[in-house]
Amino acid sequence: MKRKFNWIDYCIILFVLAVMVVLGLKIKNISSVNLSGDNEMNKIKKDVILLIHDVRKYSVDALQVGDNVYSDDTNYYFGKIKKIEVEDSYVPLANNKGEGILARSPEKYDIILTVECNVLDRPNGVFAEGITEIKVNSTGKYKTIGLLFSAITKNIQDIGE
Amino acid sequence: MSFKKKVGIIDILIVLIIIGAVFYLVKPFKENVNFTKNTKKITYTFETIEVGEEFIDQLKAGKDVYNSSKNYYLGKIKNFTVNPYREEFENMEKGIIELVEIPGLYSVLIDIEADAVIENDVIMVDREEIRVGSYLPIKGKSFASYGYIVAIER
Repeated sequence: MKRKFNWIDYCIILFVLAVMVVLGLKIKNISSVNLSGDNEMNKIKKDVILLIHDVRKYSVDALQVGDNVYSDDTNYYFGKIKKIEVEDSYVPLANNKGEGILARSPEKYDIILTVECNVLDRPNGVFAEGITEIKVNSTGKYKTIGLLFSAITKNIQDIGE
Repeated sequence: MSFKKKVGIIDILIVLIIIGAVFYLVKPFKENVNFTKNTKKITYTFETIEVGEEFIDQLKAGKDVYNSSKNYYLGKIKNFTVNPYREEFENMEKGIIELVEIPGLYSVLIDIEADAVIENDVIMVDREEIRVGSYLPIKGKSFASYGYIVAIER
């Protein structure tokens, strides 16, 4: 008895083909960055300056120079911490005269991280390791072996600037 | 009359999807089986704030701690420290921000000892990633709370 395809069979085939296409595109996007010789040649080392604002001393103590930084959004390697600067944190406050002032945020600090990254310069943006997009003034979530943190990108500069 | 069914392409595709789904579901448990290899004892500090005395009365060294939403085992209470809970208060007259104690509320630092796997820049206790700044809802035999990891000693 010859089995005829019905509409359910066609739906299943289409669904499986769609899943394969989506997966294939995802793999192609990632591997074209990692495997393509041309893209490797375009990666240059840059210092990305990240600001972690208004955090307690626990966060300061959890970071070390040399720690690897990963993007918490993409889970890919972002760069290596080259320098850590710590400053007292100040936050805006209106006093009773209606004046805006910067008040010391008690027991909190700003951490300025210099992260050395391999940066790929594409027409539509700048990407660390060709994967994680970097934009000045944007906030991202990052992680090291010791700390999970949010940081604002303050600058992307040439090494030694 | 024989009912020999021929295996068609649709049947093969369905079998492949089921195998893939089973593999995807089994993988986390399989990784957990390797957990006993390469483990190292660590102590990390968890802070919960704005708790009352009734919560503190439930804490005891040696009690087990779990992630209350995922049920992962987080370790054993080694020690705990109780501090007054302080909140930021904007003193507009002086133009400063002060930390003021709130009576009846406390901030508790709980030292938790656990076996961890440290690999690829990740510290894992059971299936929980341990990092300063990670938010955790915790529970024990007679208590529950939420807070952040504030320190890791390894």
